[in-house]
Amino acid sequence: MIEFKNVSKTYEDTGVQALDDVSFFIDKGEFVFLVGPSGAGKSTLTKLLICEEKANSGEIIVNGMNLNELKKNRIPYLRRSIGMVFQDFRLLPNKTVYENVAFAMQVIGASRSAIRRNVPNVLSLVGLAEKARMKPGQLSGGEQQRVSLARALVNKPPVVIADEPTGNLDPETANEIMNLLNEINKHGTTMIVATHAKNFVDDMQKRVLAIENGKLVRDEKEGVYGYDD
Amino acid sequence: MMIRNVKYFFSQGVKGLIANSLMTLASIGIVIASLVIFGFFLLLGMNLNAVGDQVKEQCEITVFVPREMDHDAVRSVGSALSGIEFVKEARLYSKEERFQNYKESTHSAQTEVIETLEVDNPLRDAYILTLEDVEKAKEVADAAAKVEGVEEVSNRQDVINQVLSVTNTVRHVSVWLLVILAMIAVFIISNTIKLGMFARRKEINIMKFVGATNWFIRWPFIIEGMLIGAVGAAFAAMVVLVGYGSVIPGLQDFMGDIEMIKLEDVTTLVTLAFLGMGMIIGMAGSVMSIRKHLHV
Repeated sequence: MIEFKNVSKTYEDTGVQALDDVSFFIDKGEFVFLVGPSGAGKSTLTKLLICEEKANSGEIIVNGMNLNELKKNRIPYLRRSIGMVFQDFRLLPNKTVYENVAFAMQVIGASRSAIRRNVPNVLSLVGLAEKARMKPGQLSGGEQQRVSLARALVNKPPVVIADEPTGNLDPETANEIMNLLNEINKHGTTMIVATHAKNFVDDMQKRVLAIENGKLVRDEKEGVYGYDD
Repeated sequence: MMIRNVKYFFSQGVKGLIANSLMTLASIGIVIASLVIFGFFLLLGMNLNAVGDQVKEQCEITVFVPREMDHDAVRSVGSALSGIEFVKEARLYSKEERFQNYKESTHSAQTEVIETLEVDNPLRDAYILTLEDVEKAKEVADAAAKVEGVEEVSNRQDVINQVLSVTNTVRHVSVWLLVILAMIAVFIISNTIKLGMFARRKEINIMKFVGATNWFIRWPFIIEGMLIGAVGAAFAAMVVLVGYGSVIPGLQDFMGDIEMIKLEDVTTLVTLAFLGMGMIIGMAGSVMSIRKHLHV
């Protein structure tokens, strides 16, 4: 499903080596925590997955696409197969919850009937069916993150990448979001969660990939967070 | 491209225009100004061309003989003139006939002068040569000058040359003006589009990571630019055509028997040319902005 083979990435402008000879394989339907100190290379790894950056060496294969050989005009189709969730939600403040989610379908050219069918479904999946007409500003942080998760899921991608999804949330809300991610993973979506939330990583007993200074230092089946922060 | 996408692009393009109304108005204004100035020179050039053509067609050569020449001598000059190659006809335009025409065209207040002149007609006999081929005017004029007894040859070559040189200048000026004005318009439109991109950077970012294609992201901006160009062009066409319609009757009176181009003959041309140019200018502005600022 997702494979890194000896991937290295150095940023040309700064000379920083963000990833150094990283290899791993994530199978369909797995739940993986990506941990490591800030600046260790987690974001770079995510950027490589959605082709925002290109690796200097090594091979990356995502959903059967070899990213080294991927033509520029195919990148949007790669991105359609990966749902993205961010720490800062990235919702459009003037659009309602419904419109925010529908936007993700609209801009890939989905039909109106498909939008009318999928959006309510995915909103009830994240527990926001009642708040479809509200604007993001009227929602709590946890609810906003649910909207962004709904948007990530609405095009039914096989993989979801959540970058610090609970970073801006209080512990209780964070817990709800993690449970939701776990729930979605149980329905078959491959879930990659980059996080600093030690308690979840330790409690949930999922696979852990730890990155430090651009190197993959741990790959454990039922891992722990392993840092003190 | 699917119809619902096209609808989306247009609604987004229009939204962009409204959201950024001040810059939109400025952009439309500069398109109008550019095209109106261009239109002025275009119509001026077209009319000068038409005038030139008509002067050429009317190209007759007038040959004068000395005033004191007697009737038979005049006749023999006439037959020599009609023998010149490319001369279709040499028509005698006698001094009496010329005086009559002169009298008719002169104001009645000057009757006294005319009466004085009638006693001793100061005009010369002349022949008017019509040509088989206007292009040969110069050769014929030269040959006519060599005919025995010819005092003066006048053709309107100098007038034609003048008209042609003015037409040429106007043509050059209008092309360069169009280029410069279009460049300014493109620059201002691209700036407007850039502001639109800045205002929508969040949306653009989301579109990218949910997998909108590059063209899906670009189209609304291209349409925004084209709409600026088209709206500006429509207004400019209106201004130019209304303006032309109001000056042309007066000009026509002034020009007399030389026909100016009629309003209805240029309406379609001006409208289509302006719309085409406006849209190309608008699109160029969008493309410039997209290349510089929209990294998809």
